[in-house]
Amino acid sequence: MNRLRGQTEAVLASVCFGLAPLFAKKGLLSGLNPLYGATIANATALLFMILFFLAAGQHKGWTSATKQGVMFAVLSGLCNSVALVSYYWAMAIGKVAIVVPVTCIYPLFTMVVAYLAMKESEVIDVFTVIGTLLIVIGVILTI
Amino acid sequence: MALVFLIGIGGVQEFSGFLDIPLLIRFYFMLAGFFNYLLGRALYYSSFRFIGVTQSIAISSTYPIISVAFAVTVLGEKVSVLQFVGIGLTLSGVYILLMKGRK
Repeated sequence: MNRLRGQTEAVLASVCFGLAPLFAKKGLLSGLNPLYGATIANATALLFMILFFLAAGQHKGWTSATKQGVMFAVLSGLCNSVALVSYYWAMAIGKVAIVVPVTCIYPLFTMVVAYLAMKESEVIDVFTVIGTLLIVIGVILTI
Repeated sequence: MALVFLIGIGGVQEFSGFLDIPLLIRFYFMLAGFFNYLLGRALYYSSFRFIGVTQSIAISSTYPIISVAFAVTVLGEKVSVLQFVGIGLTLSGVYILLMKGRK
C-alpha cells in the first residue's frame, strides 16, 4: 500500500512539474525576463508554504527535527540552488540543445550515488537500471 | 535558498522591473511556482518515504512527457516522430519501474 502511495505521489509530482512550464511559457510570451519569472514562482511557493505550515499547525513539528535531518535538508536546498544557478549559467554560455539534454541525465547520477552511499535502503537491480536508462533516453529524445 | 540566489541575481539587473510586470503575467508565474516548487516538490519529497529515491526521481523526471502532452492538447503544438519514440521509451521505463517487484 505504501509502495503504491509512493509511486502515485511520484507520478503526481511529475504531472505538477510538467504542468508548471505551461504557465511559465504563457508568462514568458509577454517578453518578460525569465529570472523575474523564476523569482515570482519561487517567492509564491515560499509564501504558500509558510501559510500552509502556520494554518496546519505544522510549525510545531520543528521541535522534533533532529540536527542531522535539518543538515541534510539544508544540503538538499544548497544542491538545488547550485543546480538552478548552474543551469542558468550554462544556458547563458552554451547551446540550449546541448544544455537541456545533459541536465536530464540526473536520474543516472542519483542511481549511482544511491548504489554507493545508500545500499541499506536502496534496491538497485537490473529492472531499476533498465527502467531508468529508458526514461533518460526517452526524455532526451522528447526534448 | 534558490529564492535568495535569484533575488541576488535579480539585484544585479533592474530590481524595479518587478513593479512593471502585468498582474496576469505575475499570476501565470505564481501558478507555475505553486505547481512546481510547492505541490510538485511536496509530493516528490513525500514519495521518498515510501519508494526508493532512485525510483522516485526516475518517475518524476518524466515531466517533459507531461509537458509535451499538455503542450499538444492545450497549446496545440505538434509532436515529431522522434518525440513519439521518446515518449514510448519513457513510458516503457516508467512501466518497468512501476511493475518492479510486483507479482
